[in-house]
Amino acid sequence: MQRDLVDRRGWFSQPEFLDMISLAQVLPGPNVCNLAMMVGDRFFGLRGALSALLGMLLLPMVVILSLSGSYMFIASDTSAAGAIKGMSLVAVGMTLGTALRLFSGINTEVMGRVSPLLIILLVFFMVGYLRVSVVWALLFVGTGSFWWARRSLKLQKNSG
Amino acid sequence: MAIAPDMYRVVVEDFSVVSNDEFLAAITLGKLSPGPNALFVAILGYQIAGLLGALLVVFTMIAPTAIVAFLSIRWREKNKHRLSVQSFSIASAPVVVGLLCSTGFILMNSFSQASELICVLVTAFLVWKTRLPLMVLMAIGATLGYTGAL
Repeated sequence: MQRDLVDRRGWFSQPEFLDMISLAQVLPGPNVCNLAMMVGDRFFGLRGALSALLGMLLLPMVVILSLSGSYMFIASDTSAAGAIKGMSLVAVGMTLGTALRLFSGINTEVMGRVSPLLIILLVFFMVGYLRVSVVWALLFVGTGSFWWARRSLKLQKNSG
Repeated sequence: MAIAPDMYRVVVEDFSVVSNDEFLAAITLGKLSPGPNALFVAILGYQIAGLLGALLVVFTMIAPTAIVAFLSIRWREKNKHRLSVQSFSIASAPVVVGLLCSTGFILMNSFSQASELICVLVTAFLVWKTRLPLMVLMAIGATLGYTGAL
């Protein structure tokens, strides 16, 4: 999206786009959907946001559902099942890789070194190990993280 | 993707309407296909209740969040500078990392062999440190899997 919107079409500047991405990540819902709505809203308001959102969802849904049918069929054929397993492993690896990337992007200036690790461990323990609902993890750990970030940011700004 | 652990818990563990393999297939297809990875839930809906299930799941996932997101976008334009807004962005990063690690961990339970583990870790490393297109990684994984290396 960056290559298209910023480089090719020049609709947004790089800093603008980065700002949009960080907002999209924070908002509920898939990032690309939020980004699409932002772009749509910028040029055509509510109906722009809606059309952009639908465009981001409908076509992929058609693709995805048509793939599902053949995917299940392929999965039953043993030699191709190996290929499917390989892709599944890659998919899991991608999830972890994304986690690692985000990890590098954590604002340790504000949060410090220790609290992010504590937060990650707590969430992992609650959701990954205890299998508690994500809602609880967000309620407790998320709120804690928010207040800690807010407090640290405030202190930083006051002393700066 | 943050919803994956909860989706797993409900559809695979609590209600057993989707098998572990089917769930993994849904995640993989979600990543393979264009559009958000979160659309894997459409496949889960499809697995459980066909086309109607798929549409219903996507609608319930997207509609409320889109409304909240849209209103927040408008609100934030006027409130960018506020402390709470910035704190929210900073605070969510570690939480999301924790959730992603949890998802990876839950899905790893399907795999126990060393070669599988290595594949996952190598992919994670490549995603982290390189800019290799995701499709290339998928293709490599498919080839290795096909040849029986995994």
